[in-house]
Amino acid sequence: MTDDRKERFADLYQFARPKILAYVLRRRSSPADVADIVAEVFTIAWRRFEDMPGGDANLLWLYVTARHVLENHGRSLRRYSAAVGRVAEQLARTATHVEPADEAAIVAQLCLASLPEDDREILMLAGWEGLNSSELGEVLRCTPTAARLRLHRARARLRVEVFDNTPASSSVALGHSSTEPAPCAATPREA
Amino acid sequence: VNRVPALGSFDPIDTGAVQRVAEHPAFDALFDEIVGRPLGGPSTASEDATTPPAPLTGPISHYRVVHPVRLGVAALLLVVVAASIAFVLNSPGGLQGPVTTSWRAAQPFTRVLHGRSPSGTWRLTDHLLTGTWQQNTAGPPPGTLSCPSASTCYVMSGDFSSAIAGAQMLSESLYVSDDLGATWSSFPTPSGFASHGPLSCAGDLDCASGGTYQGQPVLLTTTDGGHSFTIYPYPSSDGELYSLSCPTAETCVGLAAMSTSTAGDIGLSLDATLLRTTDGGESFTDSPIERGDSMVALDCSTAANCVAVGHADADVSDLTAGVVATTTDGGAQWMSGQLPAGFGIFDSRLSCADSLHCMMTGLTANIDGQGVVSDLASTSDGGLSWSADALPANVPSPQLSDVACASATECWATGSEAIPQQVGRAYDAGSSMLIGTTDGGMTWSKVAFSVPSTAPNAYGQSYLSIGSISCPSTSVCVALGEAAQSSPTAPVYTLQSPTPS
Repeated sequence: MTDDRKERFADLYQFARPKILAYVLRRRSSPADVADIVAEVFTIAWRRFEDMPGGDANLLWLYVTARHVLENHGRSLRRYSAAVGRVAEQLARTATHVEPADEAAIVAQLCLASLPEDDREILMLAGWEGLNSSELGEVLRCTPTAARLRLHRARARLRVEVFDNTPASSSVALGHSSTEPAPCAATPREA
Repeated sequence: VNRVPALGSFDPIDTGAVQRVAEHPAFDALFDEIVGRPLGGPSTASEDATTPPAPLTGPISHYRVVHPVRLGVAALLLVVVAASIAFVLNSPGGLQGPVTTSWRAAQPFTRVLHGRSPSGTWRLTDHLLTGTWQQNTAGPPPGTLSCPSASTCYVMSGDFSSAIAGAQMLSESLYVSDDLGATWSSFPTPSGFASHGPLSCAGDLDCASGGTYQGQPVLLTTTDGGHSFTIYPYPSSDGELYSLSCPTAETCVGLAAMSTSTAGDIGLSLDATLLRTTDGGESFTDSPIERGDSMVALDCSTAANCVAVGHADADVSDLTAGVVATTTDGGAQWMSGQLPAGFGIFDSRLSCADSLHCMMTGLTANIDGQGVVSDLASTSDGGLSWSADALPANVPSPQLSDVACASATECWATGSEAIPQQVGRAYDAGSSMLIGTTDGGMTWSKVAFSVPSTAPNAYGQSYLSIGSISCPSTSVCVALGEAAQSSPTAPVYTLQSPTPS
């Protein structure tokens, strides 16, 4: 281990930790889980730092890693350290999640959560992480063209879900409080 | 009523709060703990099981594997080229007329993937033309391919600093092969030129490509096989060429637009103009296409016969609202054709073997529960009527990239299918796919092949999909694999046996 490696990793950590934290918070709400997953992602990055692509591509590498850590994250794997515990405690004290702004957002969130995992992930990566087609292709291991097509399909399916779960007499945008939108199948965030 | 709020509007987190909490000293303590752990210890279950092989392997310069002397020569050549065209930059308007570079020799193109498995050639299994396709792993970087004859193929390709969109382009080159893709040479294009994809080669020495020169839309041509280039400016108000077809060395027809991808991020080109030259780029005419201005693709089998496909302006976000237009007088008048019901246009490609027979890629919905998948449609009346073709049942979730017709009956289409594979360290959810027809599209068959796990795949995407394909004559085709934009090489697929009678 060299100081140079540590310094370069510190730069990456400084730049990427809010982005990876946001990525995980969008997919998990438990502060303990989030802290554990973020710690795991950066631990893997530290181990494999010399294998990382460098430059802007490092962030995509971290997204790919975070995605896989999320997929594998089970209760039996949790091993909290003191540092992870402090991060979890801080997360618990901070209001990082926001309530949906209106009924349209509630419906959209519920419908998003009801989509298949692949659709949900590409929509979130594009809409919330702000990745473009090329970056989506890198994270999802497909060509930019395939990513654009997948994104288009996912958007179409979300549109259908929202349409099917919106009362015919009202528009999502109108937000009729007396009419509960027919709920999509799953709950948001933890799907 | 089915409008979905913008995804960003229902982001479940407060990014400002996240930014602030990420700056808390607790994260600094976490950093100290992470870097304080021994590097040689056992890796985690997540790392072993799921962390993918490095999806990107960092900025790879085109010149990294070139001998330093050759690099110096190339740099000198670029300086000469830059000097030869600098005189035209004496006004704020950029190029005022064509400029030609001096003659240069070809540069040998070799790729050595240090520390990787050696390149090689594998024979493929083709149920149409048994054992006639093969793949070679040492092609040029991913790009657009055009083969004007069985003896000559060209690829226009750029070298980028990374695979990230918007990454710096290090150089752009025209690669040429005279042995159906087995070996390649390269000709760097003038510094400042950036191709936007379209490449069309009318003859063994004649190629044209649309792009920009110092940001100004131009047509780049060569009439000596790449030894020299001429840059032709055209009215900037027409926008950038994104589809180009040159049926002869003098006549090139293209689609140009000021804006793309603004309609729901589905790759639409809006307000397309038909740009045409009949004197090799010396002068241009521009005209709208009578119906469906948002055209996606165009192909001209002759200087007079062209077909264009795209979207109805009324609703460019409706993929099934496709339009097709055909002309028999070089674009002066257009006639509307009829697409098959339910056939959608998305990033479509078009290939016309002659003035009557064309094939196009598109979309169709809900085939056996697969959702929207790629499809092909064919015409035998010059584009006035089209019928959708049935794709092979053994191609799950096909995503077509390109199509090329060598004759009225023989066409080949490239893309990917949803068959997972592992090549090298990369585990991909899809595989390269190649299908062909020898009866004008009535039946299509898949060329089945598997990539050896030892094939070089340093960039992880080399065998995920096949992109550009060109078939200069019957049973002579070359296709280029798709790969990350920073990948220094892409596989080349070659068909080179006569069709059995």
